[in-house]
Amino acid sequence: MAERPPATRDPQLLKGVLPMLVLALLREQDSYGYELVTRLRDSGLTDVSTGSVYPVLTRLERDGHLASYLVPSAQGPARKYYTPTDAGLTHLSVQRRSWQQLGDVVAVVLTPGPRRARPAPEARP
Amino acid sequence: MTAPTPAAPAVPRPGLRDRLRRERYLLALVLWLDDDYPSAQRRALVEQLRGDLDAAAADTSMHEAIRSLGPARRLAAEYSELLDPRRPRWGLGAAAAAGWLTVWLLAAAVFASALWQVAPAAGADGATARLLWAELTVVNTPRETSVGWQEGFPWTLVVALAAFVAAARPWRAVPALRGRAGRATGQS
Repeated sequence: MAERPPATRDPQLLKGVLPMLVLALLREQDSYGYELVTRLRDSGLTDVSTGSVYPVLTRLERDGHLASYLVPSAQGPARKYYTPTDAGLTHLSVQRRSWQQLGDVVAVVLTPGPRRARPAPEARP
Repeated sequence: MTAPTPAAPAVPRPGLRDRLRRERYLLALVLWLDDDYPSAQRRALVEQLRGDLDAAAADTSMHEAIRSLGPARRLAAEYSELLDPRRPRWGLGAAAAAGWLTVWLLAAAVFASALWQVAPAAGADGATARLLWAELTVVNTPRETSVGWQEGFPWTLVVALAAFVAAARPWRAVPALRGRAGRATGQS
């Protein structure tokens, strides 16, 4: 994992992309809640809190984008693992395209262009 | 492609102090959850968080694991928001019925205490007056002290039932009767 300086992110910005990131990570490997949090942190979202991830998992499961199954643990309660459904993978593709399109627009808008002078106010009669 | 998981990693059992911390947080979460949060989901959620808190505590500490979850009240609110807003609200219905019964009993108590003041002058038959559909008789003599209550038709319970039905909207238990409004909760 590349060392990145801790960044202060707008929580709302993160909230918007978190479901997509969760689906993307689960597409690679099924995970239980806390494991997913550590994977998000290892990906660079060092400031993501577990409290923001669990409701996202529940919402994705409620909407049919994730399925879950219990895996017994050698010690303690069984773990609830999440896996993306076909609908979830389709949803991820759509989200990814939307995100890329939005990213393109944002990149264009944020690219500094030549500064134009403000038009002079019209003289009143 | 998703790789299946063969077995959940074992984590060391937290100490007594950490287990108490964990259970205190989970209890607070359960208390803040919506009254109508399905009990099966509630149990599954608590069980899931219990295991995951232990795993997080093994990495850092139970204090840090709980801190990362955020205040129990806020987390419970986020989970409650995920419920279908068109569900029956049994808890709300019970609260409405209980509220009506409380108001009614308070009104009857105030009414009876007013009759108590005039009952000695009414003699052995006591003072009788009507409060809406109920008839109260208060006897207050040196030989007898009593409060009687007569209600022909049980209107008090009928109103309580009406309050319950109006607030709980039990017809929503039938999916076809839930109305056409879509889910108000955010779609991911």
